Amino acid sequence: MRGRLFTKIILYALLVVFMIWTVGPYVWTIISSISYPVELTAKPPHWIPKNPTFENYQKLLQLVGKYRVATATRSSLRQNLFYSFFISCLTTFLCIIFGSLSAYSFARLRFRGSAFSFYFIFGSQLLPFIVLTIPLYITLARLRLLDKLGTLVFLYISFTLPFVIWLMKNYFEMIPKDIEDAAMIDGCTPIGALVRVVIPVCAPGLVATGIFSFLGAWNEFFLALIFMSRTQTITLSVATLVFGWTHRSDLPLIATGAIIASLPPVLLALIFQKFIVRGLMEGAVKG
Amino acid sequence: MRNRFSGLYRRPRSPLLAFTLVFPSLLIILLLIIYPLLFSLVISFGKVGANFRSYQFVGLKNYLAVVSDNAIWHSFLLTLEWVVGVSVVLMLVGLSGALLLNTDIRGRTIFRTLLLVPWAVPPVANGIIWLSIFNKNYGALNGLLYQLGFTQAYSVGWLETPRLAMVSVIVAQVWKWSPFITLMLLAALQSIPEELYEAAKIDGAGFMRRFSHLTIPLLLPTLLLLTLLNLVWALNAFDLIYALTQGGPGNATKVIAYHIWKQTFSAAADFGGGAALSYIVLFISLFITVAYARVVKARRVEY
Repeated sequence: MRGRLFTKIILYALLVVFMIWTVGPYVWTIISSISYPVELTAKPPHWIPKNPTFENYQKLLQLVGKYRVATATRSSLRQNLFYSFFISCLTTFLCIIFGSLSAYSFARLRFRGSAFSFYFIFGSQLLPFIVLTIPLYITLARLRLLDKLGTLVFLYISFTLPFVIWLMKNYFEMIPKDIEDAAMIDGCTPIGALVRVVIPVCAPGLVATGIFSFLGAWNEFFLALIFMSRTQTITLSVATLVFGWTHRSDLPLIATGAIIASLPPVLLALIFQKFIVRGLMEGAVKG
Repeated sequence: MRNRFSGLYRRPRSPLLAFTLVFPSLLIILLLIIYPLLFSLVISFGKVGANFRSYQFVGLKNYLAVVSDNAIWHSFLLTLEWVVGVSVVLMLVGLSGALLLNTDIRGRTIFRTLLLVPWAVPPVANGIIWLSIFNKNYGALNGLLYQLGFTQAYSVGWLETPRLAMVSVIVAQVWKWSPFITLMLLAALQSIPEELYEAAKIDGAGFMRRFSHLTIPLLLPTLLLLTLLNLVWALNAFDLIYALTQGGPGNATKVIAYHIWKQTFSAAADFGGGAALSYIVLFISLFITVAYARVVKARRVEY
């Protein structure tokens, strides 16, 4: 019995270490964001701030001239927030529509080349991004489509769709076909069965897919950097970085930037954790 | 109302419907994957003029330039260090986490939920978070070492010392991705039937034996797949490097993806060279994927 207790204690100790490693850096960033610079420049820093403050958030969101992201881009963080929000929502919406329709065909309808198309879509996940980016940049530059929100949304949809299709296909395949057959016997067309029966049943899958798409678009940096760099319409992730490097010694301020950029995805992930964990794990088991 | 009972006996074979449903996705993917892939190949054999108005075929010149450039060889070595470092540490940390969370402890759901925090953090924010922690003069890491009495002053330049900078970037990458690995491995662990462990216990297998003869072999397919994904992702890692070190100090963390970006989109604007280099990376990814497929196939035969 004592041996068991000992094992338990060791286990909990290890778990605590693991959890500190997992959330510690983020918690510290939150603490930094509500600290005055003095608390962090103290040696050692005040791990718990003596005078917590929201001043950094006010500074960043109201954007007094000095704290503009970069003088060259002349955009305010609030604008960047709005662009990111807009782009991510649009991407999510379109991904769910196109993705679930395609996934449904792959899961249910038989047609020539379905297996090939599916592996093709899946294989494209492993392609190095940069190979595609160089020619796309040249083409889009020629068409004068750089620095346009629509272009970025189009790119995000295309690069998210393979994953969405793969995830939704797994969900569709879990739904017993009998349900649809029953609907069709009652006079539904295949599309009718999809809209009235299948989609409501696999709502959890749609939620997971939606969140993955939103997070993907919100967190994306590389394409946003390359295709949107020259205008005022840079997204939040690019803005956060430019800002972070401009003010890199002002730790509370850059921590605030990191928190503002990461709060929407982190909150979404925590609120919908059940769907996300399930979505991720289902993917893992299916391999 | 036509075909009223078709669903009962046979799945409807409806190529037109299937085509309509798949078409938008397939079109987007064709436009954004097949076309760029081919176009990239063309670019890699040529020189693209200013404003993309002219193109001049130069044969293998871009590829030869890659092979003869010492900076690129250096970058490939760094990339190897980075990819191997990330993969090994990530798998070890991820697996430890999964094993810890697979025990019968209280609050498992809460721990599992908290894993999603690093997973959801944008790579750029990840970079900024660690930029602040690794800060030489005010960073939390030097603060912690000072607080615990390991150092007498804030002395370690985590991002300023070439060798340490690579370690620091690896730490930041592992922080972001280990929860994902843990969740995946946890799923795989939970799909192992409990009876197998019971049977092994009855046969007198101790903890270590059960771990090495049961857990690891059963986890291996997932481990291999995660390693593959991680190798390919690490090979293309750009965001974190850009956010945390911008390839520095000097060229100490200038991994290949960053190198290509710099060569192509930064001052040099060498699109031909960038395309050639990215094609080489594509072939390395392909090689890794094929190697993975072979290993998986070989293992199937074993059973």
